[in-house]
Amino acid sequence: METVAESEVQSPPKESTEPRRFSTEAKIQTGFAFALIILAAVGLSSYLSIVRLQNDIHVVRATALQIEAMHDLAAGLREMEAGDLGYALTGREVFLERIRRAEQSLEESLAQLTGAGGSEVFAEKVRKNRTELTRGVALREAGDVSGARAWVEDGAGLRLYGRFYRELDAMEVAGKRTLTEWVSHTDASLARLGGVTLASVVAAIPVVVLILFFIRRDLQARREMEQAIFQAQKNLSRAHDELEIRVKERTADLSNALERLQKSERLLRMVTEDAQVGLALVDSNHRYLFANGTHSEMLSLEPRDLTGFHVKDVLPEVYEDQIKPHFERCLAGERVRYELKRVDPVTGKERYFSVTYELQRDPDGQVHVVVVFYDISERKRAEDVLREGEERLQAVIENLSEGLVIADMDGHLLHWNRASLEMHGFPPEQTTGYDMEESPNHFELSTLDGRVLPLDEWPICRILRGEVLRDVELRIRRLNSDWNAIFSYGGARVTESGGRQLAFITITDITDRWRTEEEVRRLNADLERRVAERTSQLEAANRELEAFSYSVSHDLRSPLRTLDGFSQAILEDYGELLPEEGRRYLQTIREGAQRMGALIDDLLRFSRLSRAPLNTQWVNAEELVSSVLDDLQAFGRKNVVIAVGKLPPCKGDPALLRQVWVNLISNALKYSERRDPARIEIGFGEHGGAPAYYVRDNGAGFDMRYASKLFGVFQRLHRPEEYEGTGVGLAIVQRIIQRHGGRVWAESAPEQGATFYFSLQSPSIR
Amino acid sequence: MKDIVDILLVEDNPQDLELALRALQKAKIRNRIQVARDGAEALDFIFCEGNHHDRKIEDTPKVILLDLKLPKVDGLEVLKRLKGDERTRSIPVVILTSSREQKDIVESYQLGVNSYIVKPVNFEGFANAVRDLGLYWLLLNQPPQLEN
Repeated sequence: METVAESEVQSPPKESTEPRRFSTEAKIQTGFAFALIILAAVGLSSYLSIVRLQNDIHVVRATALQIEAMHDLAAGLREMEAGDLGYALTGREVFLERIRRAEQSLEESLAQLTGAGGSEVFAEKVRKNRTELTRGVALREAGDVSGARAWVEDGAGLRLYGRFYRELDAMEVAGKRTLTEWVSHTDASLARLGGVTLASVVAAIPVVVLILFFIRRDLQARREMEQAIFQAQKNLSRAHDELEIRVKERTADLSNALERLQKSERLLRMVTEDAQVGLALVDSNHRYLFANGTHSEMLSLEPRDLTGFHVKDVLPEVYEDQIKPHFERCLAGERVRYELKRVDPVTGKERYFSVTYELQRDPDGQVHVVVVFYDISERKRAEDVLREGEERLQAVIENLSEGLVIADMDGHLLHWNRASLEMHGFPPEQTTGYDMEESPNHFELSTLDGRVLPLDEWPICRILRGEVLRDVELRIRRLNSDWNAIFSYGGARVTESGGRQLAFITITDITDRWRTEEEVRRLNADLERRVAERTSQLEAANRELEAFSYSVSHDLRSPLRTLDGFSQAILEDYGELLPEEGRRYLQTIREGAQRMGALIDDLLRFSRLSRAPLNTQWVNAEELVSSVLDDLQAFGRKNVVIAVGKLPPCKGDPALLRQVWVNLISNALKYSERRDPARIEIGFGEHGGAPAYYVRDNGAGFDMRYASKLFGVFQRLHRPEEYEGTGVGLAIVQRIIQRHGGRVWAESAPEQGATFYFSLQSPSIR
Repeated sequence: MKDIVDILLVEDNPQDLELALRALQKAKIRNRIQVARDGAEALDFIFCEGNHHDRKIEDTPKVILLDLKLPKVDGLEVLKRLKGDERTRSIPVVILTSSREQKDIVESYQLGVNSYIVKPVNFEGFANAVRDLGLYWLLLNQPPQLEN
């Protein structure tokens, strides 16, 4: 603003340096002098000419008036003549009237004529001849009609009037001549006057034009100058106004500044006094110049003005070994910052302060030290805790068996723990592994099925993109050696409390596990293959067995039927012809055949048991046993006591389990039939560490030495004539129980009865 | 009329055949019995082909006793043909076999057999079974009348 204003203040226009021969005034004076002279000359000459002209015009006008008056006079005379002559002849009053009008006109014309310088003589003559002029009238009125007539007819009257007329004509001719002369005279004067005037004007025009030119030029110059002066004045005034405004502003600023200064001083005082930091000013002699309230408060000092006190006296316990050396360093020109440790005299606790000393020099060269300090005990404690935590964490991380690598978001690998270094084959004392960008120069990552991954698909890159990885199993290979391993990678992006994002990558070496698993997989595959082989072999065997049993069923039974049938036929048709012995033999043949048929049936049943699929469901054992006892008509027998205990339900094929019960109970009945009473006990309980159903009898029993043969097919512990049977029943029981995943066993002694137990798979019994 | 047969007995085993005939005889069944020794012969008889081409198919036997294990065409196949033909479907068929195989029994019933008897080794049992069968089917059962 100021600069603009200044630039607008123009210096007033300077006097023209060109020398001026004439001032405007002189020019005007000279010009006007010329003009005056010319005008005076013109005026004078004009005036003279005009005066002459006036004279001439006067004469001309008088002459003209005279001529006019002569005309009027002539008219008047003719009127009078007419009147006079008329009356004279007629005597009629009308003519008298004309005469009176003529007389009046005549008198006016005469006055005009004389007034215009006309001939007095003529006028007088007319007046004198007045009576004469009306002689006819006079004669007629006098009654002299003849005289009057004579007046007319003689022509006396006419002559009289004629004289006047001629005289008037002469006078008019003379007047006209005079007029002509004077007019030409006047024309000449006018022409002269015009010439003089024209000449004067022609002479005066250049002069006037010249003057005008000069005056105009001067006026122009003057106007410009005035303009410039006006502008300059305007600028000046504006500059002045601005100056004034600025002065006002400055004044206001100054007063504001003063106010602010006062306020800031107040604030400063307030702030320093109640600041959260301890403030003090100490001179070079270690004496306090100032200390704020917080200073004393933090140091638990008595509230007093410390000004003038020596620091040593205020803080004696820390002065020598902590304050003084730092203070000396500061005085030597160093900016000092250190941590002061002091036992608080009131609480007795250790307190830490962060202290800075800053050297300050007064304008007058005095040296002070500004002391700023604040309590960092809390922070210190927190830091200690944090550090301890960090150290613990660090120890944990370092001793993890899992590898841990921490990266920043740019992919710089900030930290490798010891396990991660070891895993990658770096020596443990190495502080870091390769960075992400250079890793592909040393390692190759591939999927377990052999696809090599571009860096973009490496776990680190995926984590940096925000994926959370878990159990990503990859093969890692060193490019320049045959080292390779299988690693399981995991990790995620984690935001630190400070907002920084880090990527954590965990690495587990699963090479061994993977190899083991691989081995297991291989073995499994092998096993499966073998199982499949066995299965197909088994199926083939089964088919063969089926075909075999089919054939047994048909073909072995047929000859037996023939034996039995025809033996029977012989007995029926020719029994009378045979001796008793022969009939008995035939009967024996039949029995043998029938027994073999029974054996074949049992065998077929036994083999079917192995093949039919299990129809497993929950079976009510009590109902089953009760139904079996009914079928065997066990209760109806003489001398048999049967006790059935509580039997829990079990899971199994109902038809097969029924067969088990049938065989065991019928065995019990069979082997105890010679007892009186035969006792049969059916129940359920713990035996041999397993819950088991049992059937107990008090029959023949058996020697436990042969227990192993008990459940074999066609194995019998008794002679056929003692107890009938094929030796397949218990084999069937065992096969059924085995197919249910259970176990069957027996306890006995000869003639002591026997107990048969069977258990099913434990979850199969409620 | 001499072609009219009451019982068609299909049995390949001569001993079994003899025993069966004896059993029928002993059961006082005097009906006309035609014996076929294999499946093919049985079919020829039933469908009036081969040696039996001059027979009329309308003269159906009152019952067919059919062994399963037969030469040439086995019993199940014969049964299938019988039950698959409109003209012979209604002839009662009794399977008389040594087989206790569940498979045979199930299949026979699926094919529409009317009865299934397992030949016991014991001749009396066999004779009883044959006798009962004959009585039942010839005396008690009223077969549906064919066209006339």
